[in-house]
Amino acid sequence: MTPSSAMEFIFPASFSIDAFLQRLTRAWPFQEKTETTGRRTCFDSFDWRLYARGYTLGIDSSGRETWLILRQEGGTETRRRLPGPTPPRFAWDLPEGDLRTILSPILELRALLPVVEIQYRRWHLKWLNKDRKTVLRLEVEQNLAVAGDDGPHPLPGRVRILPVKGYRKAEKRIGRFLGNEPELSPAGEREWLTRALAALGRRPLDYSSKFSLRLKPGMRSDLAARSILRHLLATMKTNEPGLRADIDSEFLHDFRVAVRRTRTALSQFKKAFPAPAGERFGVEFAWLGRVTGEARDLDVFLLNFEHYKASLPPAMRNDLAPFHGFLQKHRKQAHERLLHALDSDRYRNLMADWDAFLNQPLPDHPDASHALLPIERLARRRIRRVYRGILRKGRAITPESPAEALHDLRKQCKKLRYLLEFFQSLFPQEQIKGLIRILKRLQDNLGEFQDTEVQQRRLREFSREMIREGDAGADTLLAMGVLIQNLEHRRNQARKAFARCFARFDNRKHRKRFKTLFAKPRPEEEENT
Amino acid sequence: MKILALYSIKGGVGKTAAAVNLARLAAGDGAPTLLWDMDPQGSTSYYCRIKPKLKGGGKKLIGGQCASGDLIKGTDHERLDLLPADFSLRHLDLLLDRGKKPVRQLRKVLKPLAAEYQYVFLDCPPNISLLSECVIEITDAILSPIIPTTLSLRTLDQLTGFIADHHQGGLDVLPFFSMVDRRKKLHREILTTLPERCPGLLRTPIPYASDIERMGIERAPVCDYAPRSRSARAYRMLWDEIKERI
Repeated sequence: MTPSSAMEFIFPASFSIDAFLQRLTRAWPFQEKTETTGRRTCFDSFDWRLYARGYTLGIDSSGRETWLILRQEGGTETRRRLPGPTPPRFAWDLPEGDLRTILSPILELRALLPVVEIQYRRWHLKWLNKDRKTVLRLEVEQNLAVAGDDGPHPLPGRVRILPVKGYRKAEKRIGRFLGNEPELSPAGEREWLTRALAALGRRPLDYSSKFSLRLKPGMRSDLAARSILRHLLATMKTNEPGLRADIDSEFLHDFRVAVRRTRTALSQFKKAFPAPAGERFGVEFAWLGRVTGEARDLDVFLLNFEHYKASLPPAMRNDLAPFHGFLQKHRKQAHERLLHALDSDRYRNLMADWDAFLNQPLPDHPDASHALLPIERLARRRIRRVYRGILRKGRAITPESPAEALHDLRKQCKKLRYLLEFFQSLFPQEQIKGLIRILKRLQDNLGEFQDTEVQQRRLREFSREMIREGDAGADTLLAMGVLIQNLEHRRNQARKAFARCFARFDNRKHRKRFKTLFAKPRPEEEENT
Repeated sequence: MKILALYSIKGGVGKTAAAVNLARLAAGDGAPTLLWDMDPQGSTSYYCRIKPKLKGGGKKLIGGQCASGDLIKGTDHERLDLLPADFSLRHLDLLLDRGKKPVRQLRKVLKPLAAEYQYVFLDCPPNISLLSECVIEITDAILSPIIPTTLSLRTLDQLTGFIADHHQGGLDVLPFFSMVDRRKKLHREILTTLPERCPGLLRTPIPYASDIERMGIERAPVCDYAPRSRSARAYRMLWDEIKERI
């Protein structure tokens, strides 16, 4: 099949459609021409998961019909009629079928948000042969953005050839004709969306939960550390509205990750900053981590709920329903408390002071001992030190070691992970990615061990609270007991697997990779820097 | 991909009209749909304004020398394509019999299309033959129109007996009333009595209507030229019912 980019064309908003339609119908035997008007809203997740994978998703309403249409760049279209114009919010809100199968693994927990809303006027043309059989369809579309304070905004229009299988001649001829139209440029729907967004002053892929910042190796450390922290502050600010509006669980998650990364950066680069400032902000961000923790905890339980349910014997699964109700109720309360914290003077002052601190001019002669160090040296030094700590702590763990030893190791691993992510632009990308992969495997094991422990503890607390609040019957408590037992089993499995996982992390090959990549520069190299 | 066969041992029962209309409704719901006109008379192809002709004839299609995808033609309706009939399909039984493993040969024709189409409607010729046996093997459901007359009921019994003999189970047999004329007492009687005897029977009857006969003149499905008619509504309801059952 010809790629859809050759079948679709974009024209500027100033293009004269009437004159084009006249040219078209004069040159080719289009015998049927109908016109429709409607609205189309394009959707994507906050982090552009569909766009990034070459998809566009739109809800098209015209007359009484509403369609959900998913198009893939250069390929197929999947559509489904919707009962009304209300868009599905999550992949799991979609009716079972192709669309859900495709979208679920892409969107995961993310909600669909409107990206652009347009009003369209569309001309449908049919080219009929002598038997009055359709041999080609063509759509010409004029678009107007609905939203915006300054009223509707004209957007680029589109021409789409909808070829009819088995009638290639017509398709080729019309393709050539359109290719020669000076104002038409061949481009698919994704490209159209990019241009439409540009016309509205927006840019796709303007947010990703992955940390990505380019640093220069020779940058002074206080400057580089500030860039990292400013980037993290921007992430918090970007996620705050979605978190407040409670659009999906990932706004809070990303916000919290940015807080954690900030705390790690503050402690790892403490000698690049004046000491009192670092200490004060360290305390404040620890507070922010705490006040956002409760809502996240409950989110995790709600997100895992189906998984929990499936882990029970079938006869017990419905007994868990009151627990779901309890979680939802408490999640709502926790979110209200979280909003209260975000509305507090403490939060407002923290954000304002932090912003001011990160933007104040850098002193020429700073007191902090590492402030002037080239960031590449500091990066190597920090990574080496944390890595060595992990090896030391990990090697000391025996089957008899207490759980705290593993928890402590997990924290160290997290620090190393953040450091690798902060400084990835300073080292060969593929090698850094490889090391992150190796580290991630160990983190997964440690995470499973600690998470299952925390969840067991929380489940016990929840069951006591449910009794106090009169939410739980004996069957529900029994089912929760089975969940605790299942978690204990998983925890034991993770503990047993630790030695193997750590040995894989601590093998000679990987040690050499870490050592080579983050080695201390030789004296002559140091002189050059 | 769901394969649905419009099949009846008896001819002239409204099989082709049902195949065209149901396939059109499936495509209208957004599902990429293929109609395969297996009947050498080529009525389905005629309704779709497509010449009943296969390049290389049925022999190349069944023999695998010609990819089924290359022989498919788009219809007047978005997402609805047709694998046209060919006069040589009158020998389809012989063609299938000549090669080894006839069921596998038939499957091979449809296999490459599985990713592209959500539904395939087979418009089968009216008879009991090797082709019918193969169709029974490869389909997910048999949609069988029955006119509420004594002879048609006999045919239905023959069909269920035939399927019981040639299929191991797991096949949906969904008969439905077709060409129902409520002015006739016999039709009314059978309409009320048969559902008790035949639990698989679909509830929506397709009326005997001039709207449906006009398909030959309009060369289009009823829901396109008479969307508000009783017949178009009946096909819609029938299709909704089929979707629930398959």
